[in-house]
Amino acid sequence: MPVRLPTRRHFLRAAGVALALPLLESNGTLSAAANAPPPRRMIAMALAYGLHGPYLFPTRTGRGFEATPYLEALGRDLAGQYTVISGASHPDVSRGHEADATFLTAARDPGGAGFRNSISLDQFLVDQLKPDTRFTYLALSTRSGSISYSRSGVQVPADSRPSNLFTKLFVNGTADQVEAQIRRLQDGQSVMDTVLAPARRLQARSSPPDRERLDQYFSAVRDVEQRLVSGQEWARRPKPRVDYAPPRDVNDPNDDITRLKLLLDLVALAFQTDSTRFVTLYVSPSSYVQPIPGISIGFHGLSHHGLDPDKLTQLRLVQTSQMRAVGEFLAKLQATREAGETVLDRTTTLIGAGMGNASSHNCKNLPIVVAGGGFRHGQHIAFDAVNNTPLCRLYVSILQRFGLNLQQFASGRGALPGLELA
Amino acid sequence: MNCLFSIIMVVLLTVGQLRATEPAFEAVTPLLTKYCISCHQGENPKGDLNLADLGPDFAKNATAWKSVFERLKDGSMPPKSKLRPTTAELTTIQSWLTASLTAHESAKAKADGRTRHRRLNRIEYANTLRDLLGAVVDIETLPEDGAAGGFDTVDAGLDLSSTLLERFLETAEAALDAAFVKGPQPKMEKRYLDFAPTKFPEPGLATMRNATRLTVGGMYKFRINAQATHSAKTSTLLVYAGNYGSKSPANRLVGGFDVTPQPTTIEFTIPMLAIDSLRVFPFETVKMYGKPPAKDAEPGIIVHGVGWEGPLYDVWPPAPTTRLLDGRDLSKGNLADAEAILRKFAPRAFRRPLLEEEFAPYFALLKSRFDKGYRCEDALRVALKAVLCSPDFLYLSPSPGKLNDFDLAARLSYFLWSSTPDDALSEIASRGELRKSEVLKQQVERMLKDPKAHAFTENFTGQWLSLRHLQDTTPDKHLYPDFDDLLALSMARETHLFFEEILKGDRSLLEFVHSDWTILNERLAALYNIPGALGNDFRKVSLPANSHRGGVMTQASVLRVTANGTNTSPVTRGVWVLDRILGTPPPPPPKDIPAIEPDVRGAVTLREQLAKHKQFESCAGCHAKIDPLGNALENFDVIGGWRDHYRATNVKGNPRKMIPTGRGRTTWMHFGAKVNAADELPDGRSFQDIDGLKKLLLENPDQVARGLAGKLMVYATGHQIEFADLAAIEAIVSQVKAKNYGFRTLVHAIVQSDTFRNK
Repeated sequence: MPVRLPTRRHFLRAAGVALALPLLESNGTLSAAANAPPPRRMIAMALAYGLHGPYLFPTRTGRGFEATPYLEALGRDLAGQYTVISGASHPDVSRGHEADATFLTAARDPGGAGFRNSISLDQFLVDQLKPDTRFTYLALSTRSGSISYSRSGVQVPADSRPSNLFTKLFVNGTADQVEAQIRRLQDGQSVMDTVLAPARRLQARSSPPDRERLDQYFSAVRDVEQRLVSGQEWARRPKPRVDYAPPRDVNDPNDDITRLKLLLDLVALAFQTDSTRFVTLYVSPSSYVQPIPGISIGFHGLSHHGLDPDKLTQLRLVQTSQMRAVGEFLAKLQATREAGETVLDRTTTLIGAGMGNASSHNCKNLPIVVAGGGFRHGQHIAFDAVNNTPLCRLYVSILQRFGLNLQQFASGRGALPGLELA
Repeated sequence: MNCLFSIIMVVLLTVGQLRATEPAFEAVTPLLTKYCISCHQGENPKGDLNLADLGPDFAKNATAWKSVFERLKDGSMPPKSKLRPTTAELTTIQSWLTASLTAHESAKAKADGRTRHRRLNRIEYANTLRDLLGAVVDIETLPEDGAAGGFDTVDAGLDLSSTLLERFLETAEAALDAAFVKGPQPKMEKRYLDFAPTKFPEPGLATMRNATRLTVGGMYKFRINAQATHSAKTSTLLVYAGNYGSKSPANRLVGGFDVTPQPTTIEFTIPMLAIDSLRVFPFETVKMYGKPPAKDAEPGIIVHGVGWEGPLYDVWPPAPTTRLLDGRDLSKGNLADAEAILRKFAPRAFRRPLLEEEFAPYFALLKSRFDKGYRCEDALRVALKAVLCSPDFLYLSPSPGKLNDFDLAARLSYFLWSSTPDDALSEIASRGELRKSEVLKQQVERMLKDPKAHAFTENFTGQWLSLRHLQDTTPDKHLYPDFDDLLALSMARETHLFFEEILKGDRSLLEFVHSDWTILNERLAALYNIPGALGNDFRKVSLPANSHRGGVMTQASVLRVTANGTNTSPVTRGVWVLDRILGTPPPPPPKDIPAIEPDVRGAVTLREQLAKHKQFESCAGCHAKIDPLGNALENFDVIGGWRDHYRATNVKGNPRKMIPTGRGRTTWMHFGAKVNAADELPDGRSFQDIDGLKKLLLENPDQVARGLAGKLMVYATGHQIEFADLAAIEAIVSQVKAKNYGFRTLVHAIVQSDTFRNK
């Protein structure tokens, strides 16, 4: 996939400075930019039905682990570019599908009484690093749902239509449209200014718990206002051009794999053009029969295989297709080079799930593969299958990879043992 | 959070007695010290719960105490391996907690109000923009709302994120486009495709092909001339609308229509998008003709032609536009015109009058756009957008205490219409009369008779009975070849009509458990094996004594939505009955129990699987309550048909039988193990099948009423049931009981309750 990047230099301005020194971001000079390393990025994916453990996890641990069906599906060329992690999970997270909401947050007891979610890893990185890109993050899903959660624990809605995403990323308006857009953004900013007055009046006559509720409104207004301001600046800059035909949305309502592939294609383009650096992708639940030869049972039905051999065979076919789509994506990132490294080297790719076993709705022993991003890969790090290691220790490693001097994220204290920086 | 409700219901009966003997904290402290403190104290207490420091300060620690209550109730604490309190000691702690939490919540509700400020959910938001501006908002463009306590009207689930606010801003823009419609009425297209002169476009498919796709969206009236041929029977013609050529789920079945051997005219008016076309298929037969076929042809339907006219408008410009502009021509408008429009619109949007100082910021914004040289309409749009992004529009935000007339009007209209009050309701509110019980009652009656009340049917049953999830699973094509679109459409319709019939006639809510009638068409009658209902029109029929039907649990919609498309699980259905019918959902499985790998290879039926899993002590307690209810429904398959044997795949030894497909045809199907629906409830009462179970459930009619009253209260007030609400629910149950459990009476009782009439 060749990509033309006429404005690439422009986009990379100050990126390295911002990343190395999160608190001094964004005002780097052009001379600094010339030598700045390419940005670091992350994509985190959660598969609603996980990955069937026996087809994913090697039995051997360490560097000499054997290939398994799902690792094969990622592609042989990628061996050495990823690490498999077993025996990791979030403490105090159970209740099956509810755990998807906490895959990137590790908030305790999703689905339980009085559950409140907390910030997801991607949003935390965005808050800390404040990337100067057209989109500070992209939250995506193949159907519905999202695994990104804001500071206040509110779900960040995801885009699921490739056509919309493509337009958003790469389609420039005419000069008139751009002017109209800028005016709309300015008007929007004034609208946000205006509604603060009634919000304050409402707050003044509200009880304390209602005031707490209204905090969400104030924080949303502030965020929208900021986005409208930076949106004006970005609206004036042309969007990057890519050699990629505008995708059509998937018409076949059953076809989840093509949805996944199209979204991953666009993520690769978004990374290569530095349109964003942080992406989450929720591979949503789907009850549908996938249009793959040999599949006759809906995906959800397959996930509840109950060890039925026919269902397991079919499940393997579907999940292999998913892994193959991810492998193609990783290969694309690996094939694109920037400043002596591959884009993959700069892109931490997390593939995982909220459930370790969808058939029993169990949330232990999550299927976790980390690729790229500049770690020393090529190993199977196995933790205790009974007393799991908090998955958030991996998240601490990722945060440190981004240059953040942190020792804790949610339930993770300290970086993941065994995973070293390259 | 729904487990709280069940816990509450369990303790409910004892609450009254407890109050007299409610133990003091002093009585509880030694028990906590004896059984809990050793783990829950110090710097790093287990589960981050430091009981040593917690103390009886409920204003500060209610959440922590609630979780203590729940852990005790579900038996997960203290752990089985540790010393555990006796039943009497447990009761002491729980009584104290119940009494204390009730007192605390009542005081809190008094001071802060029970329901938090809550934003409109996306359906309410779309309906409101429809009523205010005539805009059609596609709710799919807005993120799905959280549902706390099973309903998307509940405060706790209705968060606001910056992305959502951004969408609201964009949606307001699009909605204003609809309101500021200009120019003459779009030209009405009036066409008739006559199929007789030509060969039919495609066998089995009549369509407005590319040349006849609609170019303008809106309401269209269609007329199809057709007749059944080579058959003396009435046939069914299926009509689909949507984007022809795409397999998009947006290709919706409009309905099945009767076609007699005499020339038949089918007429209907439906909304269409600009790219949409119409397709028709015969249902029972395969053949479709454009002109009368040869003598020896197969039975089929002749479609003589399809005509349509549209887009149709009652008036032009549309009523909401006229209402908004109030006779002003914006192309010549000035600041005063725009201000006048804004002044009239803001109170409608905010569902209450505004003080002058409240109006000021919006006017300032309007004026600033004029100062920038904006045209009148553009300036007005910006100010209207601010109104539509204001918290006064987006949130229902009454002050603590009794609702004033305007807040009461809003709560009522979002309850019954899922939309904003109309002029009549606002008018009564502004006269200060709505809070009179009699007036409130009249308004409920008026509003329930309005077509907008269909939103209540759809949104309440959509969640109470999960009908919104009907499309989530597709029945397995191999096991259920007798499933079809007409059946899918009919299922939902039966339950909606059934609900409305009970509501309309103030019939007993116990009929949701069992009724000797239902409302169906021929397709459902075929599924239920009930004779006599012919044709596609729905009608009320008496159920034969041996039909095993009656009530919602045996309706195809509920049976389908509680299955996964391939098989049924007594657990899923049992939990559903406990929650939806009895209002006592079981707590979720305890955390971190060892996983049981489902294994269907050795087990003949899922029931035997469950029997195995009941051997686990950690499961047995709840599953004794859950499984029997689900087992009773095992005679109903994934699409709601009756079964004596489970359907099976073509494996050696599975006998096969001919089954009807519902299309007037038959197919072979393999059958496996025999269904066993007999079981017994935890209290030892046993039943043979669903008929028996329904009788047992109806032995405790108050429980059914209590369950439904709770659901309706949550939906109507936007807040989950708490300890402090139990007395109100009990009062409502006894009112309703006195009126033969009338369901309309229940709706009135909810609206008249203090819980509904206070924040």
